[in-house]
Amino acid sequence: MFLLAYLAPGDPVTVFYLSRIGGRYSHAELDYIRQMLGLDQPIHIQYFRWIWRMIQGDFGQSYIWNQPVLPLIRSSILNTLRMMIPAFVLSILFGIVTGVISAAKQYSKTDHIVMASSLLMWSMPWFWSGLMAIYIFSVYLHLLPTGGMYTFGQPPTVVDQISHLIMPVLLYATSGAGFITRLTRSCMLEVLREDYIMTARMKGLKERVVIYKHALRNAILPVVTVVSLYVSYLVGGAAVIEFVFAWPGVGRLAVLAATQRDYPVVLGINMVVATVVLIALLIADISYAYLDPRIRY
Amino acid sequence: MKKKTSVPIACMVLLSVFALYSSIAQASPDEYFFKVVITIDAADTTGLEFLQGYAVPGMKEIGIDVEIDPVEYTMQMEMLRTQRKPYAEGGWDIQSTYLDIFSDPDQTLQYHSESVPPQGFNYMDYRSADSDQLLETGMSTFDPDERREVYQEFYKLILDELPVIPFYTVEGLHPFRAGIEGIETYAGERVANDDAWCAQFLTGIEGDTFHYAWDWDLDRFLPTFGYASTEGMFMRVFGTNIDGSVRPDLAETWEWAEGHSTLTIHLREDVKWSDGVPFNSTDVKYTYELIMNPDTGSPDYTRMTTMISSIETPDAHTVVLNILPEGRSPALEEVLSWRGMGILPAHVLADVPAEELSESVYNQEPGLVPVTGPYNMIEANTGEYYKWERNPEWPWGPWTTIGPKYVICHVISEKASALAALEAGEVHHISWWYAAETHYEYLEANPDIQLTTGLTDKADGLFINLNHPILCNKWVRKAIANAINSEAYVDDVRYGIGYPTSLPIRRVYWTMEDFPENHLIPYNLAEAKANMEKAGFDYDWLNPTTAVNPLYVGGFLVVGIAVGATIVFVITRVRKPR
Repeated sequence: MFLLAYLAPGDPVTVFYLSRIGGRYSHAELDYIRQMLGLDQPIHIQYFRWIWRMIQGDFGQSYIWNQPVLPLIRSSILNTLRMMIPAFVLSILFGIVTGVISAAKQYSKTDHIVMASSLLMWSMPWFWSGLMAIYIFSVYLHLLPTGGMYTFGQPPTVVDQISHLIMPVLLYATSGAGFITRLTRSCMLEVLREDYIMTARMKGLKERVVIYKHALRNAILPVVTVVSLYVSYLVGGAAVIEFVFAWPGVGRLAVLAATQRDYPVVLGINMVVATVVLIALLIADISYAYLDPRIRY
Repeated sequence: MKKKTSVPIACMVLLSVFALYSSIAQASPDEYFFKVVITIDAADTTGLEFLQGYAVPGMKEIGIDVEIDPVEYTMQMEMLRTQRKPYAEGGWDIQSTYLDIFSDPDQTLQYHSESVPPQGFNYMDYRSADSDQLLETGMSTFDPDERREVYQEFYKLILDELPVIPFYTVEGLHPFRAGIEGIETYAGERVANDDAWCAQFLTGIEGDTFHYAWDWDLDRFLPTFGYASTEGMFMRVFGTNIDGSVRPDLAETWEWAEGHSTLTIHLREDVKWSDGVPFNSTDVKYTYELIMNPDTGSPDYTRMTTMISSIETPDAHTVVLNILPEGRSPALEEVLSWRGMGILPAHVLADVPAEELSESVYNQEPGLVPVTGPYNMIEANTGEYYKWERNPEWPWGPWTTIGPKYVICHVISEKASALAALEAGEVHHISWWYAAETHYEYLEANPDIQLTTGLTDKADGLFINLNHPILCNKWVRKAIANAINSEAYVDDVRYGIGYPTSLPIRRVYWTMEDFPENHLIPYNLAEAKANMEKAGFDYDWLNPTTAVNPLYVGGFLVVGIAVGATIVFVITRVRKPR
C-alpha cells in the first residue's frame, strides 16, 4: 500500500506548490521543502519511519491540510457516518422488504414494478441523479439546501440538519436498496423452491410465516455477506455523493488526498477503512451462526 | 437480375472508394515536413479544446504534423523539471501549460541561462547572451524609467525568438448575485483567491454576512508557510498594484542607501494588531528572520537568504535590511510583497521555536493569532466552512460605513454544486477558480446573477523544447505562432473573456507602458508558410495530389472489382438451383 502510494507520479510538494501557488518557487526551493518534509529520503527509510510512527499510534501530519492525520480522518469518518448510517438502515429495510414482496409475488405487476424501479435506482449514476435532485429541490423548488451538513453562520438546529441530510441519504439509500432488493429477490426465489417450503405450506402454515420465518431466514445469508461488504462504503464514504453535496466526509477526503499525493492521509484512510471492514466481516461471520443454527464455530 | 446484381455493384463501388481513400491515406505522411508531440495536462479541458480546435489544425495547415499527449499534471511537471531531450529520445517537444506572468521578467526565473531547472523555470533550455545581459541589467537598474526601457528591449527579444509561445491571457469570471455592488476589486485589486480581502468593499448584501464558495480548504493560517489564503488577514510591508508596481502597505516610505547595500523601511505608526497591541518594527524583523531560519520550512527561505544578510530595527517604526551583493535589486521590493511575506505578531509567536511553528496550534486553529488585515478568521472547519470577522483595528479600510461584518467561505469542491448554490441564493459569489466561463451563456441568462471579469496572473501557452532539432529554429517557432488563431479561440470559445497575447507579460503592467500595441503576432497562414520557408522548408516538397500513388489506386480498384465480381458470381450460382 505504501509502495503503491509512492509509485504514483509526482509528489505532494510538486502538486501543492506548483498547482496551487503557481510557478513562483523554483525547483531548488521546492527541493528545500522536500528536505524539510523528509521526502528527500530513500523510500525504504520513509517506509520504516512511517511504520515506526504508526505502531505508536501516530499516523503523521497531512502535507496538504497541515493537521495530524488521525483527527482529520476521525472527524471525516464521523461526518460520513452521520450520512451513511441512516442511508444504510433505510436501504437494508427497504431493500429486504421489497425484495421479499417481489419474490413472493413473482411475475406479478408488483414484481415487475419493483424490479424495474430497483434497476433504475441502482443504475443511475450519483453525479447525475444528485445534481438533478439539487436543481429540482433546491434551485427551482427551494425546498432543500443544495449541500453541506448545516446552514453555515447560523446556530445548528435538528430541522436544519435533517433538511441537509434528506437528499444525500435518500440518494444513497435508494441506490443501495435497488441492489439489495434484487439480491434478496433472487435468494428468496431459490429458497421458495426448496422442499421444506412446500412441506411448510402443506402443513398449513400461514403464508406470512412461511415467507418470513422459513424462507427469509435461509435466504438472508448471502444478503448479510453483501451487506457486510457494504460497510466499507459506510466508513470509506461515497466520494461522489460527498462531492456533489459538499459533504465533508472521508470519501471526499480520500479523493482529495490521493489527487494531492498526501501520502500520510491516503495511507491512514486505507488503514482505518481496512480495519473496519475486517471487523465488519468478522461480525458477519459470527452472525451466520445466529441465522443458521447448522453453523458452529 | 437488376435486384440480384445491385448489392454486388454497391459493394464494388464501396470497395473502390475505400481503395481510393486508402491510397490517399497512404500518401498522407508526405503532407507534413515533420511531426511534433504536444504534452498537456489531461485535466486541462480548455487547453485541450484550444489545442484540438485551433493549434493543431493551424500547425497541420503549414505542414507540421501534431500528436497530443495528455498526461497527468504531476507527470507533466516532472517531465518539465527533469527532461531536456526531445520526445523521440524520451523527453518532450512542446508542453502546453500556463505561464505565470509578472511585471519583472527576472522574477519568473524563466529566461536566464542559469535558470534551467532545478535553479529556475527555463524549461525550454533557452540560452541567449543578449537575454542574460538584459535581465541582469534590469535586475540591477533602480530607476523605473531606465528599467522599463531595459525590459522592453527584453520583450522585443523574446517576441523575436519565442522560446515560449503565449496565446491568451486568462481572465477569471466572477459570478455574483445581482444587486451586490463594489465588486470592482475582484476585477482589479487582487487577482487570486483572496475573496475575504475583497469583501470589505462590497455593498448591497442582505444581512451582515457575505457568503462565497471556494473549491478548496484553507489549509494554513500563517502565510510564512507558503500558500495560506490569508490575504485578508496579514498585511505585508509592500503590496502590488494592478499595474504590477509596488506600493506601501505596512510601510509608509522606503529608501535605498547609496550603493544599495541597505533598504530602509519606515513603517506606518497608526497600525495596531487586532488585539490592540501596536504594530512595530520588531514584528517585521521577527517575520523576516523566521522566513530566513532554515528550521522554519518557509518556501521563501532560499530567495530571502540570497538577498538579505541581516535585519536591524533602529527604532519602533524603522527597519533596515542589509542587502547581500547579489540581492541589490529593486526586485526585492516585489519579493517582499509576495503572499508569503505577511507580517506576523512577534508578541504572540516569538516564544514558539521556529521548527515547531508549522505544526503548532497557531498554524492550525483560528483566532489565536492577531492580525493587521481587514478580516480575522474566527472559525475554521476543514471541508465545511471558514468564517472571518472584521478587524476593529483596521486603520485604513472604508468599511466603517460599508462592507459586511462577516465573511463565510463555503468549501464546495464540485463546480456544478457551487453553481447551484449560487443560483439558489445560498452564496453571494463563487470563486473564479471554478472556471465558470464554460457556463457563461447559462449564467448570463439568469437575471439573479451578475458577471464580472478580472485579470489573473496566468497566460496559456506553449513551452518549446529548444533542444529539438527542428524547433530550435526560431523561424519554425514564428511559423507556429502565426498558424494559431488565438483571437478566434478567445471570441468563440471563451466568450471574449481573456485576450490574445504574444508576450508572457500582463499588458497592464507598468513595464508595458508605451510598448507598441501591435506586438501581437497575427494569425496569418501565408506569413506562417513564409516563415517555414525561411527555416528551410520548401512547400514544393509537399504535394498531396502527386503523392497519390496511381499503382495503389489501380491495384485497389482491381481488387475491388474482383471481389465484387466474385460476390456476383457466388450469388448467381447459389440462386440458380432455386
